[in-house]
Amino acid sequence: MKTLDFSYYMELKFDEPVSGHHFTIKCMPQTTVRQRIEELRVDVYPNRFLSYDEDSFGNKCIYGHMEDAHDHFEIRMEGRAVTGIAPAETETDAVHAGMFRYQTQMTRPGKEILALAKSVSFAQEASNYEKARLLMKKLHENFSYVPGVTDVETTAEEALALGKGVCQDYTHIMLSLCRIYQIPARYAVGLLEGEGQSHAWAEVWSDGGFFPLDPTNNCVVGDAHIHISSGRDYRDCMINQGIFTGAAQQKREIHALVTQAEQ
Amino acid sequence: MRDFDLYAHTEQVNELLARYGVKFGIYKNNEFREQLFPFDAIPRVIEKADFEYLERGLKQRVIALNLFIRDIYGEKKIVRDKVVPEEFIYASSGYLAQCEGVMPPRGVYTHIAGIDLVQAKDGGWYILEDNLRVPSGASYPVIARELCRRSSPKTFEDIGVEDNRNYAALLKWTMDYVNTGGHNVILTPGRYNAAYFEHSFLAEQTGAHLVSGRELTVEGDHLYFIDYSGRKERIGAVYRRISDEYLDPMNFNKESLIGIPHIYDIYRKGNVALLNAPGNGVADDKGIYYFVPKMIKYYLGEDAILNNAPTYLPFYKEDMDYVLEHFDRLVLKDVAEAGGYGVVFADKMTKREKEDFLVLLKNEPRRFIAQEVIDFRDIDIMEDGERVPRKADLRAFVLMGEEPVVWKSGLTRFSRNPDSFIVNSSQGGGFKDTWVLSR
Repeated sequence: MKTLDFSYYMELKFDEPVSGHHFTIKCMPQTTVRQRIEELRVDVYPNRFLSYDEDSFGNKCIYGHMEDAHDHFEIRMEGRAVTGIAPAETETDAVHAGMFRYQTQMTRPGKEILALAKSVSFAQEASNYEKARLLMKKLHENFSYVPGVTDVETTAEEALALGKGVCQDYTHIMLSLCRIYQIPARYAVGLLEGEGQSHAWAEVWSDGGFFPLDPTNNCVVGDAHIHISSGRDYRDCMINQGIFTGAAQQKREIHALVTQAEQ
Repeated sequence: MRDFDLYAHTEQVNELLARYGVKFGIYKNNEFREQLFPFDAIPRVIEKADFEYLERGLKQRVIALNLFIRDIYGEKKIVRDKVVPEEFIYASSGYLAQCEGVMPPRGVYTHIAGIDLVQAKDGGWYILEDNLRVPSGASYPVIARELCRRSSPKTFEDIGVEDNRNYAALLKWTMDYVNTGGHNVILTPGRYNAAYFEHSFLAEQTGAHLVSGRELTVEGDHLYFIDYSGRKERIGAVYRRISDEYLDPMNFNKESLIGIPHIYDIYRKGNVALLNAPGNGVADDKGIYYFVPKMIKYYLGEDAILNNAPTYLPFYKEDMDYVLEHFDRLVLKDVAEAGGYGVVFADKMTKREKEDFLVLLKNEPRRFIAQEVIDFRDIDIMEDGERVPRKADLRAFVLMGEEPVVWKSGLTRFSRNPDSFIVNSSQGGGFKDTWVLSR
């Protein structure tokens, strides 16, 4: 267990003013069996109205609207979390978990992923968790962390064909591999101890719970990760999603920081 | 059947339909064309006792379908109890994960159900498919009846036909029942939609505003209509004639320009009713159709009053064996397709097509259902002054308020091609009025 102070800042700058801006933000970590959120402050600016909601995966959302012209939009979130309380999320039942067994447009395998999946062999009676660990290891050996070659629309199959990408790509390929073996697997977004951006990892259904595995780092998720949201793939977990009127180019700046709290 | 004075007025009624703009739009070769929906004056007549039987069966079916959708997006008992296999839910294109845990106002999902039936030669009725998303077509028999009565009042003097011109009143009753406070609106994708005539007709008849997405806006936790003068009115029920994926770009298809951002968020909070409920596609998929009699048994403890056409699910090995053995006499349907597309009759396939299809079937057994071909009872139509028999089906409409009500009429569609079993208006068929006898 760790006590972590976290902050997340996202700023969008538009090169000309936009209006009619609708947004949905999923940036708020929640208390679960794995983590306890002790403090949380969120600020979204500018806005004409803000409202709060919970999506169908249980993720907390802030949604709202900014009608008037603006050339800047920002999200600030900070708080304190106690992490690594339990190894798995056990609040979902097996029938509901079943929905994560099926491929989505982002994870649907092609020949690259099918070949990689086939190259892994399991011991008889291996649990989903054990199978997922082997799949993760195989993925890690066949994929390199290289930023800038993929984007948010890149599918798992496209990324594996390139052989490189970022945490989103690792996670999509991992989900695809697990689902090929009928293992329900979720996409998770959160923050990782250190400085940088948000992070993504997989949660794998085994023995009555979702066990988080981080394929980018080829490790089990312990107490260095703060969970924000889960879904079928990246699209269910976008931290900021928006539409607006205007032909503006946008520049995005993100800064996340997670440090151990001073006791 | 006797000849009515009305038949002499067929042409006059069709002219009036054209003058009133009763049209059906279709896309062909990427071009939008409005076609008249040809009307045949010989009605389908349903005896009082026969209709009472249909009524009992349709109510039972729609009650079970509504319970099924509520269960699927809630507890999922029917999956837990292994009556319906998980993949027929989660891998279905009609299943929307966004609907998990969302209870619509008053628990109604299937506000307007269009149930397609056929009558076999022996007089028995079979369900062909359930349409629980945006079933269209009720306005056609309403306006046809009105014009028939005007052209030939004599015909209706003494035959005792149930008046079907109460459809709009039923629809309004359905909207009012789930309205969360405010006006009713009918949301149309616009005039280039196949059923635009119907949208405007129903709006006029129910007193609802006919609106496009850009006239509606979410502010705070409520939905508003903004009129041309900028005045805002709260909206409590949206009879939307656009499909789920275009409803809300923030929750469904992000590219949708005809939807309303955040409408789904406030729906989730119970602050507006959407008719029909998003996510209903999970219950009217051709794969799920197979399970409807089992649903009726499971939720209501009753046997289904109305039968499905005998259906096989190649997903189950014994059904696959049956399908392979009796392939040539079956009709195969792709579960993901609608509107008469993706339907093939095995006896009409060439040897090559058959071989290709069998490979596809073995690779993707969940994608298809197979059915016995039902020998429909033909209905006469008038062609060049002569009565000729044609295949026809019946779309019955069941509207759900506090309880389901079966509208005492329906849309009878016929195939103009004597060799075709496919009657969908998107495939160029015509329509008839449906008379339910009151005595």
